[in-house]
This record gives sequence, C-alpha cells and structure tokens, in this order.
Amino acid sequence: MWSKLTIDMKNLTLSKEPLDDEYRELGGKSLIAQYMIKNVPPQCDPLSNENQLIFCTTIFAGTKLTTAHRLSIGGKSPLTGGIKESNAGGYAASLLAEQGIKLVVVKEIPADDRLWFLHINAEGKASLEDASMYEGLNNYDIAKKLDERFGDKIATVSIGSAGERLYKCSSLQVSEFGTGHPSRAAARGGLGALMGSKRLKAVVIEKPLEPYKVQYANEAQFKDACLKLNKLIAEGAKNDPFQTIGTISTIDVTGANGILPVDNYSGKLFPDYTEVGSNKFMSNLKSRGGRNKRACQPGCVVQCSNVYNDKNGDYLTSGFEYETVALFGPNCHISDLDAIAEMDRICDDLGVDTIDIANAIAVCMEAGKIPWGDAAAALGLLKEMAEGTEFGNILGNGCEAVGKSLGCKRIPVVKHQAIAGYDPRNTKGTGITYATSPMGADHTAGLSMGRAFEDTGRAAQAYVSTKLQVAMSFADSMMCIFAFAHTVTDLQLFAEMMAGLFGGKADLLRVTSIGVKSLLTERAFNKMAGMTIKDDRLPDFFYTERSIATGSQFDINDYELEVLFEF
Amino acid sequence: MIKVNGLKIEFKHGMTVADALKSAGKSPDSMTLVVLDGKLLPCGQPYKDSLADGSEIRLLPIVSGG
Repeated sequence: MWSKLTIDMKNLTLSKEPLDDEYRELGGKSLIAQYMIKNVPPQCDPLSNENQLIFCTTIFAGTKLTTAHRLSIGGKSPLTGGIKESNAGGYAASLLAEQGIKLVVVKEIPADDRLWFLHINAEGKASLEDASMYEGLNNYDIAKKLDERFGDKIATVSIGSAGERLYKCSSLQVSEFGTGHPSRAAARGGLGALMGSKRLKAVVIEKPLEPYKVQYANEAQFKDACLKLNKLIAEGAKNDPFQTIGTISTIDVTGANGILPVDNYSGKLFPDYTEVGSNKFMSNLKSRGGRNKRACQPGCVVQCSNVYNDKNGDYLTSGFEYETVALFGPNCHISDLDAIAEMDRICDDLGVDTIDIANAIAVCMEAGKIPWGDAAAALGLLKEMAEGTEFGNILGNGCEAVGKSLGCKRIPVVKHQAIAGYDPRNTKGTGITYATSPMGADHTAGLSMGRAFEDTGRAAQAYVSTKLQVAMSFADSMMCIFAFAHTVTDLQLFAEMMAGLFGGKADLLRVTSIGVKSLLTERAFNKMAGMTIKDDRLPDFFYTERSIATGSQFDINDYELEVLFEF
Repeated sequence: MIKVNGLKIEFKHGMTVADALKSAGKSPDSMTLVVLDGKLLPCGQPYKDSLADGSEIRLLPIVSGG
C-alpha cells in the first residue's frame, strides 16, 4: 500500500502512514486538486502557515508505463493566488515511487529562521536535517554538494536563492536522471517561494535497498495494456520532432506561422528565427559534443531532453526548451542561441521560471530600460536578479511586477502569470486556455496549435480548448504530456490499465472523469480564493491590436469564455 | 532510391522534395517539419529543393508544445 509522508515544519516532526483511501485512484494533478480542496484554505496567504507544499507522483507511478514518473508539486500559488500544480520530469518521482511514497505534504512554518532539508534514506527513513551550510547556495552548487555527500544514487529537488528570497517566480529544480543536473523545472506559479516560506531548501531521496512493489488487481490485464501503450508511444516518438531534435524544433513551426511571439507580442514576424531554430541547435550540439535524445526520467521513450555545451565544448545547460528560446529569443529580439542558453543556465541555477522572467525582460525592453535585442544587457539584468539588487528583486517577482514598476501598458499576463511562447491571436484555442485555465496562462493546460488556421469559427476554438484542458488534466495525472500526445488513437488502454491496477470496469469514462473532476475542483478552489470571471481574460492589447503577421486579433468574447466549463 | 519516412521512392534525375512528397502521397501542412538529409527545411515553402539519389526525407508533425 502506498504511503503518505507528512512533515510539520513548526514542530519539526514527520509521520508516515498509509495513503488515504479517497486518494487511491488519483495521482499528479488530480491528487493535488482533491487534496487541496479539502486541506488548504483557499483564502489563505500563500506564504503563511496555512498553505501546504505538496509533492506527489502519478496514478501509474511504480509501474512500467513510460513517463509515469513525473513529479507534481502543488499549493496555493504565491504568484496567481489560485491553485497551482506544477510538474517536472527528472529522477525524483521514480525514487519516491521506489520508496513507496505517493504523497508528501509539508505543513506549517518553522518558529525560527533555521533552514532544513528533507532526507529519505536507502532504508526508507525520512528525517529533517540541518541545511544551514547550504543557505544562499544556488541549485547547481547544492546538487553537487548533495551528490558528494550522499552519493550518485540520489534524486534532489531544491530551491536556489530565489526561493529563499520568496520571489514569486521562483521554481523548484529537480535533478535529471543520469546527469544529476538540476535542470528539470517545476517552474510556474512561484512554488519555489512556497518551499522557501517553509524554510525547506531541498529534498534528497536515496534509491531504496528494497524498492516498493505495486499491488495490482489484475496484473496480466495491466501489463498487456501497458505494453501496447508503450509500443504505441515509442512508434509515435520515432517521427516526433521532440525526439529527433528537441522541443526547440517548435521554433521552426511557430516562426513560420506568426505564432512565435516577437518583441513583446508585437505580432510581427521574426526573420532570423532560424538562428535560434532546429538547424542551428543541432549544428551547435554536433560541433560541441552536446547531446539530444536524452531521457530526463528512467524509461522515457520520447527522450526530448538535451545537453547543450558552450563554444569551448564545456557544459552550459540542459533541458534547453522551446519556451525559453522563444521568449528570451525573438520575443526580446535576440537571435544569439548561446546567450539564450546562458540565460537558461542562470535561471535554472537561481531557480526561477524562464517563461515569466523572459517576458519580464521583453517588458524591460519595451519600457526602454534596455535596448531591444541586447543580449548582454539582458544578461546584466539576470545577474542583478542573482545578486538581489533592488531591481533584481522586482525582476524575480516576474513580468507583472516589472511592468507595473516601469509603467508599461502591455503586460502579457493572465492571473498575474506570464503568457507562454504562443501568440494567442494566431492560436486562439491556446488563447482560450491561457484565459480560462485555473493555472493561469499555462500552455501545457491545453495547447491547440495546429488548429489556428482552420476556418472553423470561434465555437470550434472554445470546444478545442475545453477538450484539451480535460485531456491535459488527466494526462497530467498519469504521465508526461509529450508521451500522452501519441496515445490519442487508443485511450481505451488507459481504462484497461485503471482496471488492471485498481479493479473494476475498464471504462473510458473512469479516465476522462479524472480530468473533468480535477478541472472543476480547481475552478472551485479559485472561486473560493476570490477569483471571478474578470480573471478569465487575456490582457486588453490582444483584443485591440491585430497581429501584424496575420491580421488576426483575439476575438473570443467574454460570454464564450464564461460558459466554457458548463458541461 | 529516395526514402520518405522510410517509404522507398524511385529516384529520377531533377527530382525535388515536392516531387518525392507527391510520389509518397504526403502533403505536409504548416505544422509539419520537413527534414532533408538531417537538415530542416523552412516550413510551409514549396519544397523545390533538389534531391540526390539516396536522399532521405523525414516528416515530423508537431503533436505537442513545450
């Protein structure tokens, strides 16, 4: 039976007990939603003792389902003020599952300023240990020190100095399988600040001597469906550009279609997008000894991760992804891939969300603080953030904080969270997701790119967003969404796996209802937190300014957004 | 011989990428990457690039984003 580990940071006590029966068939996003609606007061201050930091693994953790070992992290977001589930790949969820732990809950706030780390050792014993020697360290340093201390059969989840400073855009960084680099980010929504408020610096999970064995209702049924699903995903991944190149390949599609944001969502095209696209990336990897086709977690068959080296062939960053390139790149009018890679490294190290921070840099350029396209000046601002200067502290709180401090009118945020690398005027379903997702402007909640140019009218775009948000909600409860993308021709296999694992019928409704219930629970939490229909709206300029590239504007009206979840 | 996503097509002198795609029954949309011998071609263009015998074309549709 799975365990729940509860940590009380006020009394510095830990307890491990069997997972509550009501969470038995949940995991990832769905577990975060159901746990929070019962246990976290929606109106609490996100940095107060009432908020809880939650870690959990997916429904199929501990099995052989590819990419089932995503780590979901949840709590009330210090950035959006609503419910937040942020997930990452890496090694931590695998080892947490081997330890037999489905859910970790961190409650309360310490009475003093002492810093701690949570250690789960090879015998399965959990303890809080003094982290004072790690105070002020950033993620690469702390990952290295923990590796030296505990050996290389560990996974780490850590915050950098950004999380200690309670920056609203601070992330949790998870160590990558195989390299130990702290490059897998649970980035969105400032959960790093929540961890910092608990005075928790890191989580160290050792590989257990006796791995937990999942109990099946019908093991043969489960394994049969799992094998078929893994084969389906592996087959699909062969022609997936994410495997062949990496997520950076998306630049070549969005750049050609006017979806790539340019100059703070000006709507222009960026003629030099290929300088930061697939060919440049692959050429740099090849000539410098970098690598793509890397799995960030054991058993992943999509293998979209990478290791990117600098001009001298030395390691620079890994998990170098589309969002970071699009938003530090063309959206800031920058076409220097190496400079962008350095920005990625700084953000991972400090522990901040590259999406929000990159948007903030673009806003700085629009406000005239630094010139458009000036990579050196952008790096200078990131270094200010690392040093904690007055402006650096504002930058660490994200795009909206920077925009307001500089008097900028065009601030691309929804629910205070910055928009991802897809211009919503040219992928309207995605725009609807940005506006209505309980997570804030979250592209992973329902990216409809590809349907932007189908002339099927507004109703279809809303329909697409709804379907995708439900699908992503159950995907985020089970596996990596990149793997999920290859399963849509045989979703019944998930139902077979549910039946094989928990018993009962292999009913697809059992799977889809997980997504629907999560979404509605999240919306209920946000409503109780004080959010209204006014929060389900894009910034005004997307409605009033046309994309220069396509002539399109975001013409979805408020009523269409309001009725989206009436199902 | 030309390969399009593993499918073998007879090479003819003067053949372009567009010709090979037509022979293979493929019509990539604006969300599909076309890779010729390991190099990505700009999206959405007429694909008039010339082919040599032994060229390999891969079509990689974007299925997700990240």
